[in-house]
Amino acid sequence: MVDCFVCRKILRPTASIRVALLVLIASVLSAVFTFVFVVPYSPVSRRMTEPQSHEDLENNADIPDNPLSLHDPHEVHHEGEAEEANRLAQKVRVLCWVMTQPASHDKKAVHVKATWGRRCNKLIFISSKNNESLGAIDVGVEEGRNMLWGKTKAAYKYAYDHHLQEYDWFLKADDDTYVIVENLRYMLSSYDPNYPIYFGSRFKPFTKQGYMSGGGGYVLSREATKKFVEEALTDEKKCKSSPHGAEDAEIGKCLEKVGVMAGDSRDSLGRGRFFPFTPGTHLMGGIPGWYKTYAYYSPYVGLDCCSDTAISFHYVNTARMYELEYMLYHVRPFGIQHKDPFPAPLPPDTASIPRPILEQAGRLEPDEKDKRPGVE
Amino acid sequence: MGAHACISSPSVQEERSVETPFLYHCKVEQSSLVFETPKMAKSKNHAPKKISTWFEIFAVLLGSVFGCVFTVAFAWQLQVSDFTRRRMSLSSSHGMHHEVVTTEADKLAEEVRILCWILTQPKSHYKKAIHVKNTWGKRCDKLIFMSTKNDEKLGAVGLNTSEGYYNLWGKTKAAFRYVYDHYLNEYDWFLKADDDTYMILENMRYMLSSYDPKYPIYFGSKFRRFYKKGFLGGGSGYVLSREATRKLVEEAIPNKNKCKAGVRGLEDVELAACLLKVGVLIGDSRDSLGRGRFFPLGPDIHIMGQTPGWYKKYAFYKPHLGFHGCSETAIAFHRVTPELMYWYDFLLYYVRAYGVKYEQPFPPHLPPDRKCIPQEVLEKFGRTKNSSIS
Repeated sequence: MVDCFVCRKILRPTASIRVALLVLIASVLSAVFTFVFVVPYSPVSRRMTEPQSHEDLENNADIPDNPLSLHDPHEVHHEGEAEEANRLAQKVRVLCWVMTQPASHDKKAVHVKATWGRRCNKLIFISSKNNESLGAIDVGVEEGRNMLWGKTKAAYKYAYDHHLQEYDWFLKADDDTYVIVENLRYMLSSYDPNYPIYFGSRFKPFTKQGYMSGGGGYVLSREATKKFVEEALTDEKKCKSSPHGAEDAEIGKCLEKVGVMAGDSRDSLGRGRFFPFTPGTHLMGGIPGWYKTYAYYSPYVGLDCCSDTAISFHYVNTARMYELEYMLYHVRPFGIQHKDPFPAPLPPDTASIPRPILEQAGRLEPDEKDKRPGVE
Repeated sequence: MGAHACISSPSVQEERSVETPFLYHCKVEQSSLVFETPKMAKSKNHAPKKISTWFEIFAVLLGSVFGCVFTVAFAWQLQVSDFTRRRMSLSSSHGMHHEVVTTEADKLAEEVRILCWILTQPKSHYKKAIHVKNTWGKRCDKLIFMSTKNDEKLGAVGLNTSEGYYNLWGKTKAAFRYVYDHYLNEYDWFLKADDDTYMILENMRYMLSSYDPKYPIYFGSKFRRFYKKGFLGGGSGYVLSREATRKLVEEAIPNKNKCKAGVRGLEDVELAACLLKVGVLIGDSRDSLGRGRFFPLGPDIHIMGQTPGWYKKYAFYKPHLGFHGCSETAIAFHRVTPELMYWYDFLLYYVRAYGVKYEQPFPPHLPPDRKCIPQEVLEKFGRTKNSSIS
């Protein structure tokens, strides 16, 4: 045994040294434990508390029994306010299909319908139980988080079978997504629905051109929907045939294989419009590290994250849904007008804009013909 | 005998055992001490062993608690400072804003000049007050934070008073005296808010544009309690005309028959009493459809109709529930966290739905309670007490 003073102290400690060591070791261990699991600042515990599951969003006691009634559109404050928006709604027809389940019909779906859902040209709830008054369709896929891919395929097949020629664009959203439908039409008005393209919050992995995050919603052109159902769904090599899988990554892979372009959904200043996290997270930071590596276009933090013509927010519970409705369509600061240019200016990533659009906008240089798609 | 021999030996010092300082580990073989020492040492340790187990358990617990508490406090500090750092960067402008036309709002801002004073305290300067300044506070014509410590960068004034909920009356009087002394003739309206109040200044000016600041009147969230004519809840803020402010500071506060002396008191209740005694009218802050504009809680609670029982019981005008109780030209919400202030700013001043116009009639239509509208205003807008609301 080495005859050293300290070693002797540790290996054969006196009572007081033993106690001191115990206190020290206990505090270090508990500090580590607390930091990792308890403290919200910790990256581990943050991931655990960030609402990744839709179930822990709501406090059931807060959900009203019936949809709230809003202000009458014919009131003096609202009369004639939506002329331009209505004009655009005739030109850019959007079918919205919202992923839901029977247990959420009365808790979430009705509130979607009472708020933003009614602004779609057509609103369908994709569920496993029919409900005519709500507009819910049973697509024959059982419920479950791992069946979402099966449900997504069934939903687009349903839209294709019943509504393909009636609408120009086909949007997918969750029942805790809030969509500003006017801004969706504003962005889409620059594109031709006969061109195969789709938009959403663009992520990098799994595919060459990226895919659109399911949480923030994504919208396919009529041609993209047609190609998806006719060419991709029928070919096992192009599209995973089992109902299991991450619906957003899977549809991204399928669409890439049949030549559907992944569009740039940002505004002309490079600000995002589709948001896969809670609204406050995008605006004020706290976005998980993995998002920064996943995001196709590097995301800004703060006010520059988010476009004035923002389209979708995710993880929106019932109270926040009505609050959004109130803040966007009812209460407004007096005397401030917005004059957004029409047509909507194009986004920065020209490689993700169809040629004919670029030619029309006069943005195509002769040497840009060979530009490869890439990260902006 | 042997002991003496041990002590005198030079090698004794090195072999001295700490545990048994009083016994020497002697190399002297004859000495029975050689054998006694370890035995006695062991026996000495035997007896305390039981006690030390409990002590050790206690030590572990103490250590765990200490580690836990320290980590939480440390992390909370980190989080707060990180949040503050991140939020400070949000105050920078949102880039190009050429699609926004603010001529009407700007014109109104020139005509209706408002001084905002915000009740805060030193520990909230950079946790709450700064976020008010970054969001809605900057839309006031003048913004002052009433605190007990000066901070020129923030715009905080250190009043000669003490902090604490029950001393707010003293602070409120001091604040009004301060704005009276320094700014009375520069502004038309004097607004008070808390550092967790969120206000839409453009709508405040919209409502006030119908009234003359030379008339003694004040507006806020009206409750029927304590006084027949009601009082205005402090949390959602209240705004006094220039004349009301003058009367308060010149006539009411110095007179202890009119205004409660001393610092203790609920600021909103005491203020109502004072103003009543000097003839200041409590206005009707609702819009022409009877919808409220000043809210004691967050917008989501009011919209969802989930206001607590006391609100429904004490609101001066019977509130409509849900959306129907909330005006398009709402002015103030209370219990708003700093994060929500940035969120509401974003929703109200940046994001908009394309193609939807937001227009309000100007001049605004008057609120329903004619008794709370000065006669001159009724005459100006061509309505008497008998005519109907348009």
